[in-house]
Amino acid sequence: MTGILNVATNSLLVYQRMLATIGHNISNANNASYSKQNTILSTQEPQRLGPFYIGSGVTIDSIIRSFDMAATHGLRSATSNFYDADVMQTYMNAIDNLLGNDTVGLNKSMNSFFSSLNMASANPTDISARNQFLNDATLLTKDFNRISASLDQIKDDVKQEMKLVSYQINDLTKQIADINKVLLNNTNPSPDLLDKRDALILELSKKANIHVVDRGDGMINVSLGQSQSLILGSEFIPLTTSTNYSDPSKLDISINIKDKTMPISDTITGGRLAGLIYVQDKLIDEMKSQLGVIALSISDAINHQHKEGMDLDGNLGINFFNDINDVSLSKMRSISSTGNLGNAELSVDIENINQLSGSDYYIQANSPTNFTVTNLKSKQVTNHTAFPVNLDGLSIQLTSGSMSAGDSFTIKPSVSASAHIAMNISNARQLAFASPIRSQASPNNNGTGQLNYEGITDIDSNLFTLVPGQLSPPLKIVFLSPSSYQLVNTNDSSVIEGPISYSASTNHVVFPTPGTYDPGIRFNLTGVPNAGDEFSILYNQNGIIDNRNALKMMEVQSKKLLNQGTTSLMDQSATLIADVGTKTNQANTVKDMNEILLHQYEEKRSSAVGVNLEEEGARLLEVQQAYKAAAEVINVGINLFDIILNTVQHR
Amino acid sequence: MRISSSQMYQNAINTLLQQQAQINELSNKMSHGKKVEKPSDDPIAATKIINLKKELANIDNYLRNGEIVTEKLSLQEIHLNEITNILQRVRELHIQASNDTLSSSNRVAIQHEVKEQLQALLSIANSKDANGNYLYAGFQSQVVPYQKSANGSYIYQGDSGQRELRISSAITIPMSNTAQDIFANYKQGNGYFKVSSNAIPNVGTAVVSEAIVNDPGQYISDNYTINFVTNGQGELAYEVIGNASGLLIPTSPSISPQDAPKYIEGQAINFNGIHLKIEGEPVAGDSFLINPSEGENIFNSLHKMMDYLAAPFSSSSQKANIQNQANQVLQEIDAALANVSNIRTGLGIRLNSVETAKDLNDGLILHNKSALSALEDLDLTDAVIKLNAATAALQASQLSFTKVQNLSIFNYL
Repeated sequence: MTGILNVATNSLLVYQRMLATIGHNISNANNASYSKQNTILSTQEPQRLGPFYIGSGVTIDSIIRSFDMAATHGLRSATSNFYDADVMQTYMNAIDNLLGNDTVGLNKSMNSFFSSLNMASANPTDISARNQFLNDATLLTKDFNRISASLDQIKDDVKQEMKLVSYQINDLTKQIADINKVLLNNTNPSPDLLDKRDALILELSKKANIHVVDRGDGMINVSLGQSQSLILGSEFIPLTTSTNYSDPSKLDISINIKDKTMPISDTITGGRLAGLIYVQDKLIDEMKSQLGVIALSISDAINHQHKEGMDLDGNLGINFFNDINDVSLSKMRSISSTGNLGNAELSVDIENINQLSGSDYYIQANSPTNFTVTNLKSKQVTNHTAFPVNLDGLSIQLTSGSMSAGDSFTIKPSVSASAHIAMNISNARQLAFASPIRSQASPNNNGTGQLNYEGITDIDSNLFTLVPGQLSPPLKIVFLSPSSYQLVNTNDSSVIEGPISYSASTNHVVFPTPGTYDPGIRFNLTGVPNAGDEFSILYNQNGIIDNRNALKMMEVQSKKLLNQGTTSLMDQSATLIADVGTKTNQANTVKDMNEILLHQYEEKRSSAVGVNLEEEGARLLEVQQAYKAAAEVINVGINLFDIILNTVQHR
Repeated sequence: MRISSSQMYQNAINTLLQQQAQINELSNKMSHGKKVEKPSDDPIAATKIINLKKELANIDNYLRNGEIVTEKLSLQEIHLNEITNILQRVRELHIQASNDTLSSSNRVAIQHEVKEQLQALLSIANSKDANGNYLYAGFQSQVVPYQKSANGSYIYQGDSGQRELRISSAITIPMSNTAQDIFANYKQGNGYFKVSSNAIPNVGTAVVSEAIVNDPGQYISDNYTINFVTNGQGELAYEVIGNASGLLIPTSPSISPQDAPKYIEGQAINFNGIHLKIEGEPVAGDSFLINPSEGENIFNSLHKMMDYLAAPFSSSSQKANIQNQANQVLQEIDAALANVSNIRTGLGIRLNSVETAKDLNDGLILHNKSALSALEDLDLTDAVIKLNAATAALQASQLSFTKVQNLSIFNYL
């Protein structure tokens, strides 16, 4: 009799527990990291009665959580991929906005530069037009500087975030290791604690791509990728950040082993860290390099042309922008690795913009006189024994010291150019819009001959440099007959060369002469001159309203200055914009794709282990019914007891 | 399939967020009216937009340049008109002065007017623009183009530079001519040679009435002297000697003066491509010099005119001498007029090119702007339709979400 009561009260207790668990499930219906818990029942130890076993009711075997290994693992890697893509997308869109915004974009500044150059060229002596041009040129340099600074700012933000994320990772790995300690050899682990650990691991997979191994003793090991351990049971290995060995502007994620810092950035291929490392290592530098090429080409081409001009005061033009091969800029292009043993310092001059490959280079010394140069884009390696190394339009020089075996250098030709482009001239009178030479036909010429100016090929020739402000010597072409002429030094009337034959039917370029006299200027002769006709070539003294050089400066806009004469300044900036646009689109697509995958895995996990309220409601009714039934059993037991008592009383 | 309750909510929320983001982007674009705001909106369109904007900026420059060129050339055209008028007036004065019954005071009056006209021409040659630059000095905009020098002659001080501006992608056009082009682009006399009397004035009254080059192919440039001599028959005869060519008339082996041909008034004299007629009565010992023409300018030509207008004009030999000078000056005035007319023609051609380029550029602007608009401007109708569709989809999601979330077993417990 007591058996029935025992069984029934036991059941009631069990059902109360089950109701509590259902209640727990219902309370956590909206807890994303919660796994639905189930009460597992088993029968009580039966009682032996003679040859029989009589059941003695129900007991709780265990309370376990639902778990889906595949969904959990899948969710972790989907999470890593998504947060990698998320970082990429965030920063790519920042760059997209930076370069694309119409009103602040670089292209607008370049258009203004050439428009106000045009206006100034229409009135070369108008100081206000000159100042306007100078002003627009300054704004253009500031635009380059600003965009470069914004990209640097992004890089700084990224570095800050790398530090922050590595702290967060340490915090997470420490918590997981602590939970590991509690769970060690615990045969009946708390489902909530397991959930807590899984939630921490999921959080960790947002930061980096991790790999989780169950040790079988209740603890887990976690590694970065497949190789680099982060958690070994109850121990965790903290991450730090360190300055990159070959490029001090970059951070590495690293670990400390016996006081030695070991960079492990290479093992990180997922999570926020992977995105951050990519943005810092590749993206920003790539954008800055492309921008730098534009800055370099406009500086170089405008400087070159400007130096072939003459300013309002009759002086030859000087550099318009700062010299691209200024000593400090040339040195900046080579970065010595921090661990170099030798004291070599390199500098890199850009000799020919047209031949730039757009790549960075890596120099590795095998000995002081034996080193390799690797093109980091094409991976092409060349062997060298001495400096200077002339390669792809660059001249790499050893400025001081010498290399030791194992030393390395990174050559970045254009990455810093946009940050450092600046005006060299500040006075509007220095704008060299005129050409320093002019030709003059004698008024007594009888023929139809014309001497036409083509341009200057060497502004550093003796013709210009020997005595400033005049030609050394001024020249005269004197026709002896319609088909021959002499080249005469105007100063002393001595014949430099001649007779030189001339024919109106062929394009006759005067220099270099058949006798290879080349003063660094180009003229062509047309028409039919008569004997005695003269043309003089003289310094363009007082030729202040001349705009020939300004017109040539304007041609820089459409000249094919880059990539072996295939790409103009404007093409290059359009390429940059297209590149940014395409990369941003790609980043958006990759993020969207990974978001869908992430949602799929979240759904998969959630449908396996999440709480369904309808289900819990039904279970609630089920247990409620069972509870009622168990209570009824007690009632029946008591009734039976009463019947027996009554029978005894009435006897 | 089993689904967790939170997932049901999460899915609904995800859908709602996604639809909201879509509506937000659409309405953003509608408020800016642009479909390409950043490169990522359409990378290919973005690069095309950059190129089109550069093109438009360039064409704007060309149009502005065209206006500047037109303004300068129009001013020059006014000047050329004025120069033509002045030269024509001078030509009239020249004809008036050739009447040998004029009193010397009349001649002085004419001389005064020529002087005034010369000053008027000079002020045109030396005119300045608003910035104080001489218009016609070539590149030497701070150098006075023409000034009377100490010896009384006028020499161009500027250079031959012509400032050019680009008025279309293919054409640059000179903005001005130099004063040398306008005032000096001709030669003394008939353009090949000039005729003058010896330093000692002729005593006779011979006048060179015709002096031309019939066949430029035959013409040999040299310094010639025509001497009037008495020949072997005691007649008044002439000989022609070239500095380099030697004795030309009488032709070798004849010798001069014995064999020199008789002077016959008005009879043609031809040698080395030169064709002359001499009228009047020379005397033996008179001579004419024929020298290759040098470059000349209007100011010097007019100055010569002023000089002979002021010279004594009474004896027949004085009159003949002056007539010879006047004939040369008239040729030069005509050459100057022809030159100015040439320059005006060239100017007209340039103005036409500017006009043609302007039409072309206007067309290009229209074309590029519509291309630009097609690339970057939002099609509003399309956008409104898309926005409506997105809004409807969001409303449907909201409705289905509220319906579904009402279905709960707990409503019946």
